Amino acid sequence: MKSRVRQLREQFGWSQAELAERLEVSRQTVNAIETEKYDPSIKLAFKLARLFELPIETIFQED
Amino acid sequence: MRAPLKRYYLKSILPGLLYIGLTIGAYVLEPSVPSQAIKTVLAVLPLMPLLWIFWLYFRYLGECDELERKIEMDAMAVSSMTGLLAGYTLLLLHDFQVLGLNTREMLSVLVLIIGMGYIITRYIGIWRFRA
Repeated sequence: MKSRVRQLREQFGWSQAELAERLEVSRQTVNAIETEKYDPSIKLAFKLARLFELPIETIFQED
Repeated sequence: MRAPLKRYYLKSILPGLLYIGLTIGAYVLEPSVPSQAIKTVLAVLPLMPLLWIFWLYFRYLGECDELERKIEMDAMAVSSMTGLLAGYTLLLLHDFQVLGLNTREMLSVLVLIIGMGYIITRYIGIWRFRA
């Protein structure tokens, strides 16, 4: 799955650690989502969508 | 190291030491104990601190985030499947008298394979998703 998380995080001026703290996950998880090694659960995807104030489908797209 | 893992490791020290103490104690006391019932108690007693560690592990799992939990679950799945396959293979090799191992040695090998399977798969998972 294609992810825009890194781009959005950088737009918000957050570090991976800051985003991880806001999402209540580890920095490892944020990095794995950004590098598209791991697809987040629907719950975490909703959290990201709320945080970036965007619909999920604009953050994640199918390959 | 994330706080939940650190907490799990720290909290496991006491039951770990208790397990070692009870195991050594059981081996020391066993020759002087005539009753089979007491021998059984001596053999089963070291399981209690291990159950304590399992309980701590399940609490740790509850505190993991979803990727950490996936890494742990993958490691447990691989180690249990490896254990199943290794156990079955050891059984056949024993029955066909290919291996010159007694029951105790076979069980030790099996426990080692399961443990190593878990440790190796967990570290592969951590390495695969490393930040």
